[in-house]
Amino acid sequence: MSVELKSTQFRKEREETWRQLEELVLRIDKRGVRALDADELTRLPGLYRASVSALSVARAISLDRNLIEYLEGLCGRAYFHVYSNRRGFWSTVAEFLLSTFPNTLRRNKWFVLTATLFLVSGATTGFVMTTQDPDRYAMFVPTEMSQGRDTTSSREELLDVIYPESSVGEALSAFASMLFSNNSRVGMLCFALGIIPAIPVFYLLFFNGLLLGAFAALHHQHGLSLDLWGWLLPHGVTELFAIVLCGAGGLILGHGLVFPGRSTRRENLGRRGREAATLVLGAVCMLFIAALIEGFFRQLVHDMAIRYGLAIGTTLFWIYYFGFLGRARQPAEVRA
Amino acid sequence: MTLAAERTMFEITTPEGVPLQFPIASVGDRLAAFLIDCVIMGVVTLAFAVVAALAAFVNSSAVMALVNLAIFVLFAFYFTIFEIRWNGVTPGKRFAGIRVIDGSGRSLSSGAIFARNLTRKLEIVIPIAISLNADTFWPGAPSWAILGSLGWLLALLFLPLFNRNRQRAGDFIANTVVVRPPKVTLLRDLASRGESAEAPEYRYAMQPDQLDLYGIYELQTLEKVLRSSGSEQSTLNAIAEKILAKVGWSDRRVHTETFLHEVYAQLRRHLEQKMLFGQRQERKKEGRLDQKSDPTDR
Repeated sequence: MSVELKSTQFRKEREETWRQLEELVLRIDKRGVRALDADELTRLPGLYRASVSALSVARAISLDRNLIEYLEGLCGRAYFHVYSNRRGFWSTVAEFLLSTFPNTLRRNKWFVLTATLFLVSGATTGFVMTTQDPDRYAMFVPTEMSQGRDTTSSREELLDVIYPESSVGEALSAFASMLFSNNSRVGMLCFALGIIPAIPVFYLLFFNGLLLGAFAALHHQHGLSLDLWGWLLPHGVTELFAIVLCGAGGLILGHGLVFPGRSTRRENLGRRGREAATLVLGAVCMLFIAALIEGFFRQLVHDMAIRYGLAIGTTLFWIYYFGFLGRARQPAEVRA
Repeated sequence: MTLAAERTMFEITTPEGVPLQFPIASVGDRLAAFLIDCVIMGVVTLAFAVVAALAAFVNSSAVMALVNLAIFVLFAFYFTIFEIRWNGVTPGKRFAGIRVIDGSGRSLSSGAIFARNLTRKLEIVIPIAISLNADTFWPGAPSWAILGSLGWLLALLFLPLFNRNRQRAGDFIANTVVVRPPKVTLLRDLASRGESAEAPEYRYAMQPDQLDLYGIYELQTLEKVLRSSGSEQSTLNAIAEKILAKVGWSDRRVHTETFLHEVYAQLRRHLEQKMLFGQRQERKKEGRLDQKSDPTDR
């Protein structure tokens, strides 16, 4: 009879490596990657690769079940840490804002245009219908959203909202944060509903458009159109576009689900879902900016020229951002 | 519709090209993790509420705004932030021993984590809200519409039960899977004969035709029995007797533990050698050998 089993020899030669890896993995599990010092961090990938190759060998030559299960468990746990997303938080954010977000939008421009179309057609419908019969206003705009403005409001009451009398600085921050969280909720809901094949997204976009149109019509009848848009547009450009993006995200999901193309529905949903989520995350950032403008700037600045100036400024900024920024950089995630 | 049969393992291929299998987390594990996370969120909200109450007392709306924002961030991004920072784990998941992994074996991207957590509201909050008060979502909706949408949302909620990987809607969107990575300790090699690397001398040396009777399944079952500390002596004796009868040694008296360990070591050597030559014998052969007396018997 010969000496030791091949698989036993194999284990004796490699076991030390596995134990070292296990010790490192255990510490990361307990206290995160920061628990390792620089030296251990550089050893981790090497130990991992050695253990993975040992697993391949063990599967081919060993029948020791415990050994194979141990190696599978060890490699699995080490795999999470070796292939973790270890980029810094701020560089991820910068990459997202400067490249991933605008590039994703450009790839999905048709969805964005479709979503815009729905919002605009809703707005037109709302405007025309309310102009024809002012009583329809109450039908389109829920009372809690109109801030007391309805068909019975006088011109002065409408003006009061557009140019608020007392701008109590303290209350504004609360107002802004309320606006932001509310808008973001609507936007994320708009996206999530896309999984129910897109129909609620159409509804939400159209309904929001309707609201806007009815609102515009109400002010138009009092000859306040110019003042209203000055009130609405500085933040509205950003906010409406963010809502359109959320809607577009929902449409992408719905489209991916209904028309999977050459891949299976599940695969396609997995791929398109990330694109859609990117748009929504970007939209949440935009809504944050919009809420800042709405909460502070609009309540404090009453000069119409400045209001329109900001509206035009934000429009130009977004055109530059989505049209040109980050074109040179290609997002890494899409290639795979 | 029946519940999809639970597939216990989810396989990914690492970038090194090695397939790795993970046990899929059960619905119970995930529910437990979710409830723990909910409790944590509840406690933090309560703390915020106390701060807000104090702020109302001193009438500071800036603090109120911050609290409002903080609660929004907590509820909208609790899971996202933890899963990004902790690489697929939240406090609840950590307690339940489960984690999120990328379905295609790449590293878990922030985008995927964000996507999988966007639908949570749709899956949990809205079904509850609609069943409590449908009017806020659709004033004056006909009852069939409410029932229909409620059913649809409940279907989303129970989606994990109807697919083999136990994926939520958010998992489909992000192509992620929740797994329960096992913790296995490396035990002593049963075939190793300690530090002495001399040629093994078996008290019960078996012949190739005897070892040929058994396959990998029997070897690994024997391993399980020998490794488990709870095996009764009577079980071991019964196994030893069965083996003795099968290999044609039914008249031999043996020391059970030594015999079983030696059978294991010899069988493993035999099967591993066959494996090296490309023969994998999975199961035992039927029948038994005739009575034989072993020349090496002492």
